[in-house]
Amino acid sequence: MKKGKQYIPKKFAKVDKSFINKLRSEEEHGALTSFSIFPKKVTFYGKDPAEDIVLIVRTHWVAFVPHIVFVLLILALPLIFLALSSQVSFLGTTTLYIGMLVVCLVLALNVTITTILKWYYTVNIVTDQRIVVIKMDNAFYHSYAEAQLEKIEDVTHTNIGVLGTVFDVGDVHIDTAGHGVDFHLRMLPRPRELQDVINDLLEMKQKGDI
Amino acid sequence: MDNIYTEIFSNTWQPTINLGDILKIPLVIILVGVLLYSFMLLLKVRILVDTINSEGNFKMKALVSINLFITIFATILGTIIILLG
Repeated sequence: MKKGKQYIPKKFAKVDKSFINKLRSEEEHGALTSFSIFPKKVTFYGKDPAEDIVLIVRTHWVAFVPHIVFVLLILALPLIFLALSSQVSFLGTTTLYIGMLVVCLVLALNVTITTILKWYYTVNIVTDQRIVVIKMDNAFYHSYAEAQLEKIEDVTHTNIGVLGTVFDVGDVHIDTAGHGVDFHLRMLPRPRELQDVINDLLEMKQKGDI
Repeated sequence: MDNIYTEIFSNTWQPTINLGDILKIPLVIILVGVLLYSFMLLLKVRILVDTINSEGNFKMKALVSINLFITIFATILGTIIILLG
């Protein structure tokens, strides 16, 4: 069912659940958003044709502030050496520190690109069948974990600290049955809404609505 | 005779610590490491594009490709500057 810019799949169109009403009112589409509802042009590996993606949540940008600080430190280091090299003899020639500046620029660029990729490819997908958690840390590590909705036993969210209060970010913990994978999703925007979506989907699944 | 001894010993080599010389090799190693890392990043994105298919994938692929080209250019330039310095 399409209503202007809004897109809600048929199976959810007549559902009277708090999350659908909430999503309708706060819909936010786009490829580069942290909280994307019923995304149209997104698929993932192993997605069934009849499966609908309800929500895609990425880590809040505030989680990457330490990375930004690290990049600034990398850039500041050669500038300090460059300023000191003309005054302190044992530091060597200025040319070397221009070279060091080039090294630090490349390093900062790669840390920045890695951070952008980490934000974009660390993605939590909630569908009407399962929850998929894709995590990318760096060029050498990524993981893909999923849990069927039936296996989910408990969903809790925590909102801790100054950042949590100011930016409305928190952690969501999804407990699955048995010794399966438990998800601890960190620094997500609007965690209570994610919890509400999962809980409503679980209820619908139990009733056989989806 | 004493003068000759004094002159000889005053001109002998004395080791001096120069931080610049010590830094040269680690800086070149870092550059080569970053170059390899940016190549690995390109390969990682190729895998992730296959894992999750969305509108932004093209942007991400372009981003890592540009990053690799800049890194290759900067590695060559940086190595020359460091070795000359």
